[in-house]
Amino acid sequence: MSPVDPEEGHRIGVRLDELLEERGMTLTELADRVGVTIVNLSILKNGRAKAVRFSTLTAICDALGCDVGDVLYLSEG
Amino acid sequence: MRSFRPARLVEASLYLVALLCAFWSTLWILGYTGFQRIGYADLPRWLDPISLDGSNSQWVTNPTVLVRVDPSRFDALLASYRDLNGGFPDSRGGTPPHWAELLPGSSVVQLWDFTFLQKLSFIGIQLAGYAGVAFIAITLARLVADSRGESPFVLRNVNRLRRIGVVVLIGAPLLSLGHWFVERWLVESSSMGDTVSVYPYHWSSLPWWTMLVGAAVLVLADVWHRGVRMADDVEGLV
Repeated sequence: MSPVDPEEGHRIGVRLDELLEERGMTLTELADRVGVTIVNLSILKNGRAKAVRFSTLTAICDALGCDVGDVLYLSEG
Repeated sequence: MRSFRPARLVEASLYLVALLCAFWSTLWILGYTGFQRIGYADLPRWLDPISLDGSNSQWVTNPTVLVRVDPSRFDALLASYRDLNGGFPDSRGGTPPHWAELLPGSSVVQLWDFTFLQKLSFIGIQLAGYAGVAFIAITLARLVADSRGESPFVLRNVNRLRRIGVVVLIGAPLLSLGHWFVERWLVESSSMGDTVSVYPYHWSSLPWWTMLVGAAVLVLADVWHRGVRMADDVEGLV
C-alpha cells in the first residue's frame, strides 16, 4: 500500500504493491501490458502521481484482473 | 561531433545584441557628442557601416532637431547669419554661447554648445534606449537558456515576459517623450531659442507600434501563465 502524502491535498492511496505480489507480477511486466513507461507506473505505485487517466486505470484493472476499488483506496483523514 | 542546437545560436545572438548595446553606449559616452574622448577618426574603418548609419549619425557629429521658424523672427535669423560670415560656427568672428545653426535648405537646427547637464541628459536618453534593448536581449537569452532541456512553462519565465512587456509598453513612450523634452530644452536654450521652436509633441508621435508589441508580450505572458498551470496539472499525470 503506497503512503498517502497529506501535502498533496488528497487522501487517495494506491495498492499496486500488494496486487503485483498476489499475482506474482513485476512492475516491468505490468508496464508492458498496460502500455505506460515503468517510470510513470513507479510514480503511481509510490503514491507520487497527482492524477490517473481513466484509460490507464482501465488497462491496469484489465492486466491485474481486478476492480478500480482494488487499485485505489481512500485513506482515513 | 556535437549536434547543432538552434537555441544556443539564438542565445548567443541575444548576448551579442546586449554586447553591441554596451559598445554603442560606450561610444556615446566617449564620443563626439559625449565627452569627446574618442573621435570618429579613432575608430577602425570596419565600423563605418554602423557608425554612419542614419540613426546613429549624431554620434559622429552634433545633434540635429527638426524645428519650425517663427515667421516674425525670420529677419533676425538672417541678421544672425550675416553677423557670422554666413553662419559657419568656425568663422573667425567666433560663435555665441550655446551656438545653433539652421542647416541650409531645411527646417533642421544643429546644436553645438551644450552645458554639462544638457550633455548628460542628451546622452542619458540615448543610453536609456540601449539599456532597454540590452535588458530585453539578456532577459530573452536567460529564458532561452533556462528552457533548454526542461519545460519552458515555469513561473520564472512568465515574470520575465511580464518585465519585457512592461519595459516595452511603458519604456518606449517615456523614451520618446524624454527625447522630445531634451530636444526642446536644447533648442530653447540655444542661440536660436527665440527664433525657432520644436514642434509640439503630438499623440500620433507616440511609438504606437512598439507599444503594441509591448502589449502583445504582456498578453503572451498571460497565455504563458495558463501554460504553466496546465503544465502543473499534467505533471504527475499517469
